[in-house]
Amino acid sequence: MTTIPYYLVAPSVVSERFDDEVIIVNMARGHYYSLRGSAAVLWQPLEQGATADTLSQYLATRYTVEAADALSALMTFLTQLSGEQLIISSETAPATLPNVGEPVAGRLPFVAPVLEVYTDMADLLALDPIHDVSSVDGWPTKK
Amino acid sequence: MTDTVTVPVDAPAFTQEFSRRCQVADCRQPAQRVQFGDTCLSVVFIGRGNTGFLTDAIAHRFVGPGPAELTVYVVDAQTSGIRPPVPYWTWQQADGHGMIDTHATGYSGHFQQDTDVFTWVARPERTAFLWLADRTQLPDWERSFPLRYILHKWLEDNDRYVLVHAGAVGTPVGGVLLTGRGGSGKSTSTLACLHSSLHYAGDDFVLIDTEQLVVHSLYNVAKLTPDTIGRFPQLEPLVANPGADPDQKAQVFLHQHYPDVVTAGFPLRAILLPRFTGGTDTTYQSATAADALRALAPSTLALLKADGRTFQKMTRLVRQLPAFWLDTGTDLPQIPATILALLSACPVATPCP
Repeated sequence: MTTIPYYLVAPSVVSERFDDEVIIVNMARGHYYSLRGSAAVLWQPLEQGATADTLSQYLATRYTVEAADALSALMTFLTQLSGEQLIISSETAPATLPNVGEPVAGRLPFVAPVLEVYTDMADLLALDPIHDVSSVDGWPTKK
Repeated sequence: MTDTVTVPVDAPAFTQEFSRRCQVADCRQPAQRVQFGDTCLSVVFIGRGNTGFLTDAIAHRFVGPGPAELTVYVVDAQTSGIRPPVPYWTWQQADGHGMIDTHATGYSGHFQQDTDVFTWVARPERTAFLWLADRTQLPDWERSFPLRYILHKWLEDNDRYVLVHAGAVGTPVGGVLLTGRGGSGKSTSTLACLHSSLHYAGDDFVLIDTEQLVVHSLYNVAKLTPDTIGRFPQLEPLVANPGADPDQKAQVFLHQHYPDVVTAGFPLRAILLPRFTGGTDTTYQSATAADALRALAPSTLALLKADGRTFQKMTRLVRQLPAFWLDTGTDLPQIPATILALLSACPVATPCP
């Protein structure tokens, strides 16, 4: 069993959980995302901070899958989240760890978590860094 | 114009010096009051020439003399000679979008490099500045939603009001917000309602009161792509910028041509997410709150360079109103008819406490 790192949602990310979907916006990257099914289920413990082992156990209590069998799909998902800068990893334990709980009644068949990525917002966030500043009055000069 | 060489040391000093330069300008035009919901602005143009570039889109929101909670100086440097004071920040403190880290609570700054437009909002002094290097060089789209960044920043900390990238049509007793990514048919759906009993509150940005669930009109301009003009040929003679560059949308100031159609606002009953089906008919079907947020939030956040505060207000909005996909077809009169049918079937939303 591994106890570190702890994975948790990056502080710059905003998200909202609905009944069956989580909407996430990452302004720094100019992308937004949708999580459904097992991916949406994982977002709650990630908001608190959890290890991969805890997250796989979390899945096993809610889906008909053994924690060890869910781990591979989970790690792929965490790599995706990390690649989109939606989560960070830390060696410091969070203040409150998520409660894995007992297996729920009527566990659903396990489907690997998927990160749905939308990139159309990036077109509206084209970067245009300030340069060519006047040495006289300190203001940018027209390109 | 000669200015005393003063180098401000912080945000209040910068604001004070910029205000002084505006107040002593000899080309200061009379203040105009503009009301958006409970928010009243006093807009003072400093410069010479026609101010229509700034006011045509908000002319339907002019009100008579009275107090204002925010004074906005709009400075045309080309005709006034006024420049902002020397910045107290370094430009390494501006991000890639021109947002300036002011290092001061209550102050916001933005420099739009491609248009040479500087915006400064000083909440403690209830003063804002929109400085234009040369208003004649502004792209057409700038005149279609004037003061949007100032309004957004002024209201950003207010839990009640939020600017959103959406259109809105309705009657005095209730209406709908129309939102979606570019090309979804938001403008077509809105403009299809022009000759119906539905009034127009906007097709681009509107102001929402998330407590009372009321939409307030900000801009009366309709922006049309060549495709959209093809669907509404009666609007072509009314285009205010007929010689615009091909990459600029045509603009029709509806308040000038359809003053009875443009409304100050109405209570909201639903959020519609238009999507063009390619068929003839228009229908609607239920959508989720997540669908509505996915349609509303990204472009609003991106266009306003907004943060989690605006996201939370939009979240609150979509949780309070039912959402529907508006599957639009080519028979345009069916669009307002479908919206009216939906409104008659939609209960009045109960605002959250």
